[in-house]
Amino acid sequence: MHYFHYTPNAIFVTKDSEYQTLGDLLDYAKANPGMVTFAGSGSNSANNLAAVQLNAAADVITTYVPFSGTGPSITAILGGQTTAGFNYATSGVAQGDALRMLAVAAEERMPAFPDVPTFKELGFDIVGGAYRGVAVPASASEETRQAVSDIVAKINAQPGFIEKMESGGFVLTDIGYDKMDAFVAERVEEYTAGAKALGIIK
Amino acid sequence: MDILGYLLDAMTPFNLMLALVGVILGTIIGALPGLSATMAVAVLVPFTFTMDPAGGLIALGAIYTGAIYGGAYAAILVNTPGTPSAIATTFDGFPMAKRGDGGLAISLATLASVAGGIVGALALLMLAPPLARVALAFSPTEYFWLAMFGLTLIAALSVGNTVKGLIGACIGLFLSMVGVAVVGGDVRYTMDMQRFLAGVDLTSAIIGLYCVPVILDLVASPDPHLSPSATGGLRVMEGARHALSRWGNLLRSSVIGTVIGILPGAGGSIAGLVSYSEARRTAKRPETFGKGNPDGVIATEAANNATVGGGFIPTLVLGIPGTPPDAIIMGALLVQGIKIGPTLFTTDGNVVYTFIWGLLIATLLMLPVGLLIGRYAYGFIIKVPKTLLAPTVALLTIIGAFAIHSNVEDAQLMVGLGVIAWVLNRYGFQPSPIVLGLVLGSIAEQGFVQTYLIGNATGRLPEMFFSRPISIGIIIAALVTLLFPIWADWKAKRRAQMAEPVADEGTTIAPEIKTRDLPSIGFAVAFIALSAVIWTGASGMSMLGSVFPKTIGAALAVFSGLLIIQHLRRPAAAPKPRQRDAGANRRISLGAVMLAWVFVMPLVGFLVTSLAAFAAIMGIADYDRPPLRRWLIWGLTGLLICSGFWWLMANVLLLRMPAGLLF
Repeated sequence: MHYFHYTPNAIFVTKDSEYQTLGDLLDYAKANPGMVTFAGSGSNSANNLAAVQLNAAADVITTYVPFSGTGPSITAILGGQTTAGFNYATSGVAQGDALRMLAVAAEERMPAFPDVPTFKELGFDIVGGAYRGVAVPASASEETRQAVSDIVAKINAQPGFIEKMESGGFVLTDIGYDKMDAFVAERVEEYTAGAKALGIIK
Repeated sequence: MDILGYLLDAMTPFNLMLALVGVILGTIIGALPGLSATMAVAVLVPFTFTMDPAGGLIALGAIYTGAIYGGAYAAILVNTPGTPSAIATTFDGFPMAKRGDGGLAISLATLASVAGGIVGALALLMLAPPLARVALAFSPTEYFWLAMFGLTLIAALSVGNTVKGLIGACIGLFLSMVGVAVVGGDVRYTMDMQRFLAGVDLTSAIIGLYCVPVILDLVASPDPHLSPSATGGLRVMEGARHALSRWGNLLRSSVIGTVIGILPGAGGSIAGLVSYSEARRTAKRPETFGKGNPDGVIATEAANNATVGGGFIPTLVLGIPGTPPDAIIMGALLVQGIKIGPTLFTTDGNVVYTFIWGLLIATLLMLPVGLLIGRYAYGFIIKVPKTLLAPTVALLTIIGAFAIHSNVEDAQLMVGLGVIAWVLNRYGFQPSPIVLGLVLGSIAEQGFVQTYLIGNATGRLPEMFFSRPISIGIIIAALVTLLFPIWADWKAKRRAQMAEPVADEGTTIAPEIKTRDLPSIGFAVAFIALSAVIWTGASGMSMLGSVFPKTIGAALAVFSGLLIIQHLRRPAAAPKPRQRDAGANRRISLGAVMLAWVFVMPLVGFLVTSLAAFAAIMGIADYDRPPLRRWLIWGLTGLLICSGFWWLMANVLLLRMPAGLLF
């Protein structure tokens, strides 16, 4: 009924990493196909999709290493087990200075990370992450659907709430019941292409 | 010392009360199989939102540590780990209880849990930032070898029966692969049923594998469930003397538990298994482990409670939850507006240190609380007549399996696996290797595939697997554990030979001749068929997702083949007169009642089916033929137990109860 926010995908390296920018990392990846390893949460996940999209957009070969969740994959990055990580921007808030964010898959720079460029700025059309929303059973009436959508939209518009969420690394969205069909259709198109790239659909 | 100042903050009457109530609640919840530490913490998180941050954390930490400890009761008294952390407690705890030392086992478990909890909490208090590095030093390779180390315990658990133990492990590993794979994302072995997408639930599998056989055996004979103890009571002083004389075991197990607790994703069950296997290896008489050696209980319980403090280290220092309850507690902190991460110890030092002191106090409170609850639990299990005990335990297994996800399908799986486990156990396939495989399978697989991916990408695959210092250490420990039982066996034989240098022919005592066992060959053939199914199922999967299934399938086929050869080479047994086991009818009807219970429940409703099944099991379990008056009292008790639990689940835990036609 309502998609209220998403946590954008983002590339992380440790604070001591030799890669200062996404350009540095991609130069290395170009010179050494496959050598750059990205730790991420799960296979065929938002992280995995973003890694595949980056491979295609930047014409590089990198290796995506799936972990059982964001926690273990952040541990692997911090411990230097992989070159970098494809995770969500929220991890950047939680880890503070321990990790450096190279790029984020949001439409615009995030208030919590004013110095981190978006993929779009760097010339890669990658926007997305883990979208979160509320659903109702198919049997719910039109009024209920609209009411649920309105309540969520109202919460999402409170200034205090916005401040809290944005400083936590979330990007608020306002995709209500009326915009839902169009939004889902777009995602279906994007994910179908992604699923083909991931080899889920042949 | 700033840190000591926070001790006073933790000792306010309100905080002390929170710690006490938390420990009591946690212990009781942990003692009930299926109601895990994670669930206890999750249910109670909302209550902490109104408290100050430190108080809320103390309450959650106390519940957590109490629940990990409470798991020991069910492990000792009914052979069912109340939480997965207590798996290894069953190995020696239940045999102790069977022979009448249940009270002593509970005392030891209590003392060891308190000791382990204190070591873990002290590590958190004083060494958290440096120890957090341990979590970072562990690469996927180390997780893989750690899981392998855990699996070597099978060699020790199934001495004299190693091939069957290995087959059991393969079955457990196979069960661990069911569902959507973390690496590769394949949907594996779900038989196109939605219920298997999330995999085989560990807790309900453990309840089924360990507890259902116990209930089946319980009704099969009129003997009491546990031998009555000679002295009665918990024998606390004896336990204290024994525990103190094993201070080395206590300390080693606590340290192992703390370190494994720090590793995200490893958890209390692995900590218990590793320290159990270390205690066994260093023992003077390792062959007594698994037959009721108190040191097994000490090792497991010290280690699993040490993981509580250990698990908080990465949670608080790195913002990475060490165990699932830690993840929930982290969420609670975020709601309180406290930012977890590297700066937490400096910015919110007052909250953190007050909480750690509170955790320490809660751990100490476990001693009186545990001994008191343990006394009643033990007395109840000893005194309650079998006619009431069997249906009550059966009800608890079903509630436990159901409550994890409010899902009847978990309960169905639990009973199904339990019946299979009983049959397999009868033919020498013990449940413990299966459980080990199930617990360690996903860790082994993820570690292996991740190492493979990283190693392959960077072109140093062999180095990744074999030349990292921590890995080498774990590999050596695993080899020692694997080879030690064989060596000990060989040494014992040699010693026996030295003792009787010349034995005349005819006077030698013939060793127990192992004879050919046709059912075992039959099972082996069935397992070979299963391995073929595993292989054909793996052919459609991605490269990443199929490595592990193919390896396990091949291993299962090889071990089953070995078993067949082993039995064909043995002399045929003299045909035994076929006689029906006296308890067989009761066992079969109990199995049928439990199966009917879980399959009819979604149609008719929880309370009605439970009452009917409770009454039926009372009839099956009864040997005394008591007068009508006592039947009435028992029936009333059963009614109270069933409706009491139903009310508790529906109104306190707010679970969605299967209603069906009636209620």
